[in-house]
Amino acid sequence: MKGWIGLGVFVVVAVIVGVGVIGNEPATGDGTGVVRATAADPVTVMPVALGPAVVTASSSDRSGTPAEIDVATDVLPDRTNAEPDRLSLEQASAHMRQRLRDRDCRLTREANQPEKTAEREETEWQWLPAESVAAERAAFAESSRRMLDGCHDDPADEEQRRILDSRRAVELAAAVAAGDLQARIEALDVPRGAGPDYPDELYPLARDVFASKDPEALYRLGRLSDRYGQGMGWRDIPEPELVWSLVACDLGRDCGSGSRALDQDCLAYGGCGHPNLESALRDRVSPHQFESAQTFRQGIVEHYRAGELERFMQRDPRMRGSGGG
Amino acid sequence: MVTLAVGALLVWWLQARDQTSPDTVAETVSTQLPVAQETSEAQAIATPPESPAPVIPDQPNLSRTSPPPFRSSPQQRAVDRERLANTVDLTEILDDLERRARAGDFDAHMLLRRIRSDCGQFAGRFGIEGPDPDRLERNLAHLDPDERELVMSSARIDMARCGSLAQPEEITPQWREEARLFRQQLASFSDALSRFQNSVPLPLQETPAGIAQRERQRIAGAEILRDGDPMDLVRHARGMQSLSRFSEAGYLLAACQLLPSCAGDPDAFILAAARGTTIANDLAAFAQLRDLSPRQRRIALGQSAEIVSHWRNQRFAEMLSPKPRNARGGGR
Repeated sequence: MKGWIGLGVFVVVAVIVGVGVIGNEPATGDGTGVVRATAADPVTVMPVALGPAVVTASSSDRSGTPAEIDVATDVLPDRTNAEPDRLSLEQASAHMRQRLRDRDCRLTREANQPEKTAEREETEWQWLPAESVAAERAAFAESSRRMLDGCHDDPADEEQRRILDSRRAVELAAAVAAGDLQARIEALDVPRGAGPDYPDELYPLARDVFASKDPEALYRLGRLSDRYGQGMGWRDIPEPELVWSLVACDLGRDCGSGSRALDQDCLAYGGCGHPNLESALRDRVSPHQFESAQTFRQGIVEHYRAGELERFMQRDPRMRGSGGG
Repeated sequence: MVTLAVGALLVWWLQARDQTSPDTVAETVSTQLPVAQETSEAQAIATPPESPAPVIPDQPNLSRTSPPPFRSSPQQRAVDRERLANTVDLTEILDDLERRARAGDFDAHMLLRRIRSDCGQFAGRFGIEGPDPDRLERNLAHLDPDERELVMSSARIDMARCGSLAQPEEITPQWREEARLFRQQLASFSDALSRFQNSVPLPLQETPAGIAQRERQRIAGAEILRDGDPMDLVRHARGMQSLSRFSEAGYLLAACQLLPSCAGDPDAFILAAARGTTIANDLAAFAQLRDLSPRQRRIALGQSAEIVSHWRNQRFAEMLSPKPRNARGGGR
């Protein structure tokens, strides 16, 4: 476990450095399982990359209600000036729920911007039958309402936003250091070109996600495929994002009507109003893509339930090291 | 060895399916070489290619010493298409095209370039990167047997057709330079096809001159469509998409409704297109319709209904009407 945490800290530091976040000193493990993450200079710090538009909060957070701990004020008060933070795993999880919740808020606001609305009208809705457009509009509005419930506006002031971004970066590092799975995934969810192509952390992270049986983490891990491709180890799986999205639903992620997963899909990709995520995905990829994904989906679910999911992890030789396993 | 060769071919084929048509290649190239940055023709010709790639000695070349270029007649173009569609061994066709290109036939030159380009995609990969069995395995592993057979079928035909080329070509600086010269020549032709193909480089599309030029392209496109050949919707779908509010898939589905061979059983027609050659074959464009999602297909069908309505009412200009908010191309 200590090895994992130490590795996690290393990866976060590497990622932060890789994307241009310059901390005053690197986070260090002290061997106790509690690690100090160092805040960075709010002026020079850039935000850790936000990753893809669609990321979910924990499946246990379907209501979108923030955790009982007010992360913004209780867990991590305004400590952007080199104040080290220690988080318990529980605090780290609460922080990540809030972080992902914030991202959903941003996703929803972006999807409702006038130019996005105009684009939907021009490129999609004007060509579809009126009755299906009416249903889509209603579903889009309903998803937006659910997703915006409880959202707070980001600061309008640029300097304030920069400070907030730097604080988020520090918070993420602290959550990774605490060993939170979502945080470890998030830390690797950086744009291409930022950070290594095949981080050592990928493989042990995948193993931990499998062991956790957390379908939300499984889904988010699958989404990393877009960033790391075959480095993820899914060497035989085509359309890995599609496959893992379906698998996560099979393994317990809430993908039904009114779920956060479906709302995110609707706002990010359009085509709202499906009864569940599978239906939405089936409508968004070609039939032969979906059929291919189905084949792998069944195999993965069977192996997952049999505890043999590592069978799908064929390490790419370019992935160096043991990864701290 | 045979397995490796077939493997490499299939890798190429899978990638080549996504390659752009010559029309778009011209646009892409011209984007890299904006008009404002063009050097004089003489200077350009005098500049040796920077790439170490081999120069093809017998390649037709446009230069000051070439005869004045001209466009072949619509009838000749139709004959060329017919021959190309029904021939596997392209040796004679290639010889003929080269001879005509040397005599200044712009369309012969363009067709020759298209064949070389399509085949060169494969040859370049095969010669430079070598076969990649892992990639082949990954690319085909997810295909069901029918789909895999379809890929193989098309690849076998392409391999035979490309085998007619004595020396394949890849995209080189010299090739790009030719494209630049083609663009200059296109501007000197006054026929509708030339005016339509004389596209505006992307960085210049929003300039007053670019907007005016795109409008001239629309007028020329409407002139082409006025001839009443639904295959023009296929041949120029990508170019029209860049000018209008309709997508390439919308034009292709409209063409399908207007072509008796497709309208009766679109799925079978599209499948046959996917199974056929990708080398200089207009019908290959239909294969991409298989990759549409159900939602994309519904949208494209909505567009095609409007396109067909305009076609039947001879409102050709409206088949190229720009997007409402701005005149930039794209589509979906």
